[in-house]
Amino acid sequence: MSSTEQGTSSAAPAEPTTAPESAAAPEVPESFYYVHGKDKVVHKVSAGALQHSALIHGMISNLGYTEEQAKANPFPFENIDGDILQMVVDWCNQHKGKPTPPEDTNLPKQKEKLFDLVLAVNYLEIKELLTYCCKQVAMMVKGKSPEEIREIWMIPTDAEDEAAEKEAKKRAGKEAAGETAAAAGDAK
Amino acid sequence: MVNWSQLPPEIKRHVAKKLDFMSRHAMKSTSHSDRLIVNSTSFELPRVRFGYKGDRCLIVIYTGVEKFLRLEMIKEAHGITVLRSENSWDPKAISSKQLPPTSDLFKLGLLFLKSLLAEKLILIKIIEFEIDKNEKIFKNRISGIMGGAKFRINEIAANTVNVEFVEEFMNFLTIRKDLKILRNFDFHAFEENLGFQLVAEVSTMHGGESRLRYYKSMFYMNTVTPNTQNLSNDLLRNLVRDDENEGMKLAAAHILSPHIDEILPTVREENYSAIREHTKCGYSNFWMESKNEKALEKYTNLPCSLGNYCKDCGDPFEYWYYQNLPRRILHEPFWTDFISFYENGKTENVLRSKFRADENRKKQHLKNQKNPKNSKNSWGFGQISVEKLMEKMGNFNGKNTKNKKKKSRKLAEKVPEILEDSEDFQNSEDVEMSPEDSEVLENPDDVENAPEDLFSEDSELQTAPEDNLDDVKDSEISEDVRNSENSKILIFLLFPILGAFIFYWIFIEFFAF
Repeated sequence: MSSTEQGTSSAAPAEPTTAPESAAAPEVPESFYYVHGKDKVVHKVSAGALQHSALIHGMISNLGYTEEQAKANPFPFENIDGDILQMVVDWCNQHKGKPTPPEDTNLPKQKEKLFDLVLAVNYLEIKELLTYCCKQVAMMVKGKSPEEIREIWMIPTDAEDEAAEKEAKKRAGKEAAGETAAAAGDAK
Repeated sequence: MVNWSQLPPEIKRHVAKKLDFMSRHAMKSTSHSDRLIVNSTSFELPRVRFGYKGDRCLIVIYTGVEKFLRLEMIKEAHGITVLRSENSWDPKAISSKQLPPTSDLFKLGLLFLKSLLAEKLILIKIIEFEIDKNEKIFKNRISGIMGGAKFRINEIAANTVNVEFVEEFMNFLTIRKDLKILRNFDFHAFEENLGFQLVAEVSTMHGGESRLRYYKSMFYMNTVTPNTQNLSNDLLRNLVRDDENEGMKLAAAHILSPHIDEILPTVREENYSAIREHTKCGYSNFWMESKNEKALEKYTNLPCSLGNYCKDCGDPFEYWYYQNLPRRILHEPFWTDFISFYENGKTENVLRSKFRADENRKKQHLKNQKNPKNSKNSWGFGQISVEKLMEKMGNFNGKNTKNKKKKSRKLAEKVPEILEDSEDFQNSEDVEMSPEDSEVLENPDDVENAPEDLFSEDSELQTAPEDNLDDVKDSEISEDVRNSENSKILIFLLFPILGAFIFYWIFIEFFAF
């Protein structure tokens, strides 16, 4: 408990007995949970840090794991790369119990990593980090022309999109035709 | 590897919300799905200015305090000169572009505005008009140009000369349910201060809250004395009494940081109720007809009575905007119709030099800052790097040699009058207009594509930024290109002559031998 809190509670005349008790109460040991990504590397994260993630926080409250159970069953996030999960865990640890600053300069600058991070953060429902990431993504294209944006974000043009769609349809049609032919052959 | 196309639409929308105004506009042109994404995210602009006077058309889009995008189109005999700048009045940071001539500059300007801002989810908090009072034909033309599209605007502001005129055509421009306020404002310029010190304001409300509210705001730059208070109080009383405008009127005089000794006691009058509020921020005096005095109650015991005219409690943008409005005397002397009164004949010049000195002081202060903010320019408003400029000059040169037989017209560049007091404006390079380019505006159907062309950098050459292009001016680069052209011609001409001469000499020597 902080010194200011102690001062306030000791000054309160209504509950003179509770204040010294609470001041003397031993700190509750922090509980830890375990998560792993695609690479199966297990990361140990405190419950305080995990509060940033609405998804994990919900899982913890619903499952009611003890520390031993949590150690034995780390939360699996098979859709998140190991290095990306490491970034997320680091961010959660850094901002544990702190008010989030208006800007975060430690986010990756490479678009591939940033997009992966955005997807992971969106999945884990970490609202503040998602806001930072989206801001960072938006900053990538500041001052750029539509052609440059297309290049940076690898956005296909409408014509390319149409061509890809046509090709996919054609391929699907061919596959379907192949399957029906094979089925007819089997029937014979 | 994840790319943009694989992101879910809600994330894309989240990103689109964080984009600055021009990036948002650029993103709309990347693909159809991204256009849909952008069009489904809301965007708010604190203020937009649209001006049309003589042969000039002005669009200024404010995105925050000291953040704006400015486009001024000047009609000249050989075409339209477009001056573009972002967040700066430094003449060296102004880039220019030439567009082919058009007979209707107003139409061009309004189409730019329409293409940039006429969207369902773009909300303009205030739009300000400054239009030539002699132009009377707008009403019919505007509806034609807008083609049914409308802007979402909360407030329309115009100077006293323009306000009635604006009222005639505003319904063709705005969605009525969004429009809440019509403001008529003017400035009284005095030499003592750089910003306003007193605002006398009257608001008139007709019927329910949904009806349009009329404001008349008069800004005074003089230091408040008992004499000016008497004047403003008289003015307010007259405005409340004004029988021409029916409705419930509330008059208010707001004085910023007054000396208590200078404040006069409120003069009471029969049939009128008045309350005075003196807070740490300033002093306000509210007037109303006694029959409406219940409405006055909400103005009592306010923590701050100055509203948006308070530096600490009001909207920072509104405060910044109105405090800096008289600086147009220095930056945009052509667009100062809102100043209805000058203290004397010299006031304009005195204020201009005061503003210049203040701007220099600010610039020096920024230079002395250890970590000056180095933000990128928006699309279409950026400064060009030396390498890119050279590359463009290379393409430009190549294009010219290929299209030598094509008819092209050279557009001379003028130092625009807007920068008449800034002698150091760097002229942009003359732009060779190819026939393809000139088709852009000659065909009226294509005029809506003009904004894209305006912001594109393919055919443009911008002025060099102060820092990295001081010694590589456009004209010098152009000179270099011309020199290299000449040297090529010399080589092509001289080489056969020299060759022939050598062969001739060998031939003579051979026979002599």
